[in-house]
Amino acid sequence: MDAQLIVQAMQIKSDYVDRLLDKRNVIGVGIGYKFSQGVNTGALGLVVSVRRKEPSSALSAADMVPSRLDGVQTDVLETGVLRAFDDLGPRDRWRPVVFPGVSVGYYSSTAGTFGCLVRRADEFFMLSNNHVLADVNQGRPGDAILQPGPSDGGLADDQIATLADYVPIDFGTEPAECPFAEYSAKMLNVVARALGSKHQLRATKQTPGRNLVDAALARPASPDVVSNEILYIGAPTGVGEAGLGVPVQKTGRTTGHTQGVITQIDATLRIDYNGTSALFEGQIVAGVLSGALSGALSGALSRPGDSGSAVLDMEKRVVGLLFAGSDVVTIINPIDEVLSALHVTLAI
Amino acid sequence: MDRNLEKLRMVKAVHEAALMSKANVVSVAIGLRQRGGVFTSEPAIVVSVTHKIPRSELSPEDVIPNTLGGVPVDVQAVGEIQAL
Repeated sequence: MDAQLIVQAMQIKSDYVDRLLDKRNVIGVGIGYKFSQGVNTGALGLVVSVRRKEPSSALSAADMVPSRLDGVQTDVLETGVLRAFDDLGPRDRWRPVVFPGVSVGYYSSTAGTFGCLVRRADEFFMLSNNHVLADVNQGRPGDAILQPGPSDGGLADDQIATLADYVPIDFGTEPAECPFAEYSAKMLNVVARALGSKHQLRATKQTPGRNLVDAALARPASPDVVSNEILYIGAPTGVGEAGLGVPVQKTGRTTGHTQGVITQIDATLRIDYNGTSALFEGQIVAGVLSGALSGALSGALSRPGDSGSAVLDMEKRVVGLLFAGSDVVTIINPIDEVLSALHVTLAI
Repeated sequence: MDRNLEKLRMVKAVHEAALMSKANVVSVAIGLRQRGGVFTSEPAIVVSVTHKIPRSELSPEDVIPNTLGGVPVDVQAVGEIQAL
């Protein structure tokens, strides 16, 4: 993976995204590998998602997608999921079937994103964040989950699921003042042993929790009301690895379908939850590759409300669960940690 | 590349706690280095800060070194990171 090639493709995308979105049937533009007859050619190019492919003869010249733009190839992909519902967006009420990528929320909270469908034995669950489905450790099993979430107008009639399970977020007891007290004590003990001391120092302040995931499950009212096909992306093909420089995509309640690139792995970070910080380890960080990129589909990968989105590579393998971010970075739990913490597998 | 990453992980593990305690630091990770505001394909220890401050205005204990254990350290400004 050559970051320079991705930078070049991202810049070409940013130059052309508005013109491409004006063309008939085009619903998204990203970067990815060019596929030829189902085989990955290894060449990076622009991926143009359309509601449906039409023969060139049926399109006006202005609506044709050029096969090359500034030297990079384009690939037109049909996104079938939307065809019957193309007047609905991620913040709308979706019935009879709810697709991952749309608004959900705990009944008394705001709204986030239904990330993807997972299963435990024969049972299917909707995967999202603890802070989306369980109101940051406040929810109890059986509490109502609404689609759309309350911020998008969801009311009691919009209940689609109930809270089933979540991984508690551990804020520790001293999140701000001394997050590494225990670590320091360990280091001092090393020194003390080296000096021949038999006394062990103990951390006087409890270390705040070290979290790996912000994750929760909702149990749908019936398996028939949920799909595993992520809006604008389609069904996941499996679990993927988060490597540096890997292009990723997501569909979220607020920013819809967006694309970014993994820029950091193994990140230890402090994340703010309404004024209280929690420490996370082993996280994935994605960003856009150039500050010059902007626009609805090419700007930041995420905004408030996108929490809970599944993050996939361009071969539609799920790499993580989006849960936090700033104006320039998006923070993602590794999917293997999410699945193992909740004892579930992807529904693919 | 993999051996390089392994070395970065070891150096990160040793220095992470000290880096996290410096002013404005919100994250320590293995990441792609930026040059002139653009990402390169060079891996480094990436220290994310809410905002950058001139070295002259930082107290000595808050200065982030350019290298640690022989590996490059890149400081990147990310703003406040919040649950979304």
